[in-house]
Amino acid sequence: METSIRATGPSRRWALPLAWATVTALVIAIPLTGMSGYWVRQILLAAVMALLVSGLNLSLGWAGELNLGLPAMYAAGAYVTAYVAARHINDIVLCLALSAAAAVVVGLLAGAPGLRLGGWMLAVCTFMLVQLIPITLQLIPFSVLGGTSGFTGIPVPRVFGTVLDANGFYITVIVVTSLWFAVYRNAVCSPFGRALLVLQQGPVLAQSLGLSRYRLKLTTYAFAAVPAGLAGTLYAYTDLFIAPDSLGIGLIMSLLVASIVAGRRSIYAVFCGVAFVQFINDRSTSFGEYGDIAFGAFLLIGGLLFGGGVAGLGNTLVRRYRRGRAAAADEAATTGTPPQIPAFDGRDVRLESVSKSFGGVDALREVSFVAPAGRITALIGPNGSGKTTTLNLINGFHKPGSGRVLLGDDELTGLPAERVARLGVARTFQTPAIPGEMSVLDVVGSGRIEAHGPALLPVVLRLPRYWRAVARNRKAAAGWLEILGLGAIAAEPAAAMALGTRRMIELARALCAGPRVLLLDEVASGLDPDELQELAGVLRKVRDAGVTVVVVEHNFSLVRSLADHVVVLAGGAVLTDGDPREIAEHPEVLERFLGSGAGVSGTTLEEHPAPGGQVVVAVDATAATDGAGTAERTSSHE
Amino acid sequence: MTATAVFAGLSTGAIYALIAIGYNITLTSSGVLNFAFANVLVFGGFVAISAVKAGLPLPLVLLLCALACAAMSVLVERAAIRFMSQGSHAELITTLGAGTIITAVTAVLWGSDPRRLTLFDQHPVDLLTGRVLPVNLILIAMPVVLGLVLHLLFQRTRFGLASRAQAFDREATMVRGVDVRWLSVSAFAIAGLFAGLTGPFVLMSTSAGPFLAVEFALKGFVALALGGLGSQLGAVVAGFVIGLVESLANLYIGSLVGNYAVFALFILVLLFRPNGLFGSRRLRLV
Repeated sequence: METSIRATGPSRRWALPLAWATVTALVIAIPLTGMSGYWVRQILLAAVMALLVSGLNLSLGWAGELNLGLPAMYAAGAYVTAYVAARHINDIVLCLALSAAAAVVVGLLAGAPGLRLGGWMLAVCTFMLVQLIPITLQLIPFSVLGGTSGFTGIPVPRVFGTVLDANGFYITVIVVTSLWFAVYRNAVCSPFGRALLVLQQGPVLAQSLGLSRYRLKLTTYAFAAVPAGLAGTLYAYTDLFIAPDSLGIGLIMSLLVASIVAGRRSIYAVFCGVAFVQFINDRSTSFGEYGDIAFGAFLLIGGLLFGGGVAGLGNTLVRRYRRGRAAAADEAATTGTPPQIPAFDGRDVRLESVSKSFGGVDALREVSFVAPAGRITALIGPNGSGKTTTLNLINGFHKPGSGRVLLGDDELTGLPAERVARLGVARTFQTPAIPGEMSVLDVVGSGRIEAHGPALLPVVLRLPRYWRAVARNRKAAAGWLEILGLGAIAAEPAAAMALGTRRMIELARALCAGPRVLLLDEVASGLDPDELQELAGVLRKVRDAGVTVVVVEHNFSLVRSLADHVVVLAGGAVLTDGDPREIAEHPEVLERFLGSGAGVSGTTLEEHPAPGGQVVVAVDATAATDGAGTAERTSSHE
Repeated sequence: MTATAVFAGLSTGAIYALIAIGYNITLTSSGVLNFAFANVLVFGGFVAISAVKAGLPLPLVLLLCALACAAMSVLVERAAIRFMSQGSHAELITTLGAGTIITAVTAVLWGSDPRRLTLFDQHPVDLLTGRVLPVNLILIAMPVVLGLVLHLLFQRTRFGLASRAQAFDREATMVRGVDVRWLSVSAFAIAGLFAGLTGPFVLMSTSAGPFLAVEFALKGFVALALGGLGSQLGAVVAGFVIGLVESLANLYIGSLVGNYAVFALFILVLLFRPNGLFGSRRLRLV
């Protein structure tokens, strides 16, 4: 437990702020070394560009949406600053605030519909926004914004009435950039950032964890407009002139290249990407059209590699270094007794004559059953009998055609999946859904993001509320890792684990949410006998702690050893239900599923030996191999 | 006045429709949105400039352009798509890069200024109280005729069936013994042929410079989304609608308003019909 905490967040909390303050101070001190005006200006432009690239990284890398509209938000910031400073009040702090607000408003104009539509639509909408810049400038009277020839006459910046000299302005730019990057870093290295990583895994997982895709993306997108607005202010004051030509497609290209070179989720490496682009741009006057070719080539090659860029490289090196040290520390780490399983507030799940059809095919017909709290209910039946569909109806992925789904006394019928998840329904998937780039501990902790994650403001400012929430969530996640025997791999990348381990990680994530109901979709497949024993043990403990457990399972031996109650589905209807012993002797079930002479497959658990030792067989021996299994798996993820 | 503006709107709309059709070719057959298509099309127009200057007759000019663009398009597939890791959806960026390179190469070879192209001698004709150039009439007919041809190709042939199958489920199609890589190359080659046949007329009508490709790419994209992904009919209708709205808004509301009108139209239509006018499926998530 000790190792995991250190590996995911340095326990020396002062180290990073200290490094940050030192670097900021050093950059501020650069002009004192007598550097030429040319280089000072290059640093200013790099700072402006880095702000823009951080905005692109937030939307493309973290929210997973291609936002081509940053030049429009940047332009909004620059023009608001120019107009306010030249015509009304010249104060850089005020202008920074107004520009950020203007950028967010302009961004939302295209972003709200674009994100609602999803996919490439945001790219289209935001790109159109950039196309509107020159037209907008021509539509607005020349005397206001100066049309396409640019805005002249921006005054030298002031702060609270005091004129900022060149050096003062330089310091302001560096401090603003440095503060923004601290905000950016805090936002993404947090449960908020991990929620965004979960989002990238696909809509299904995010919903099942109670995350609202649209709201998260819109928040991130609006947040990404802030640095663009700030950059606009700094740009307007740098040259005291705005050249509209610099706000078009060329800028988008530069930003994309910088982001790709740096890594699309990079933070500090952004500055490497910016330096690279500035170098190319600087040479581009001598390259002529060849500069465009070089940019195109970088987009192409960078897009193909689309990996982590400079940041990815750095992370790999750091991880390798850390692993070496963690291995040494593991020797010393003491593994105490696993923590106690907390009590759960389980609720009955009740299906009342639920029907569901897909394009005329009846997947479920009049299904009714109760999964009582504090009991394990198993759903069995052949492929296509509607087991996964039933789970999907309970957790809100599908809406029933008719009938009701109830959680205790609460109506779940027709609620979207993220609402159901927030009411306390957690689940796992046939194919484990593990987001990339997250440690095992973080994946497990992500089960609690929605219910227990702090809002963006405390996250960004690292308020005490944030630290308390993080400590609580880490403790809960680490606790479940210990209980499930995953403590040793807490700091490892989760997506790289073997199938069986990923199933256990998913289970830990579902449990970490502190659910009322736990839905497990074939949680045992791919587990080895030891893991199976351990799983059965944990599920019994969890049941005893009060959770309503519903398992879809093909391994009848596991069902017999585990379930308190078995519901047999056939052709979308309930064939029969009862305790496992009754089911094993039910003539129709025997004949249709368990079969006489069917080959024994799956791992047998000898908890409750079958009478006569005959009927311990997997319900559906074909499930693992034939195409039907694959088909069912795919369809359940639509 | 109005009729002339309608003709102007229809002929620019035809260009948007052509671009959207080009996007659809690779989208329906290999599931890839090829942003570089517009750049290839404009490249084709510039090839025609040199071919005409060399004194080739019109059929040969078009043949040469078609072959050059097909080669260029296949090159895009090789460079930007072939080595893309599965499911990364990086094509938006790689084809944007490929398109940038193509346009930059075009500018290096032919200069970055607008160029005039004369494929045949023409005089404006009076039609329905308006005036229109013959090349624009050809341009207006092109998306309708070629869109229909491509629609039939994809609906009625084995190639079309295999293409649609692989765009729907690549693995399942491979298992059936279809060479999906060959399909992808073929789709890009067809898109290239299409670009080469239409590009010269687009350039003759607009007298554009190489960098107009960016504008075309965007408007074609809008037409694609408005019409509905994968629908050639949608691409044609949406292309014309956008061209008309732009042209008429410029005429009646004020010049420059056209782009705003298109933006508003786009967002309005998609808020009520998220799949586009004729689309049946949602955009794939990035």
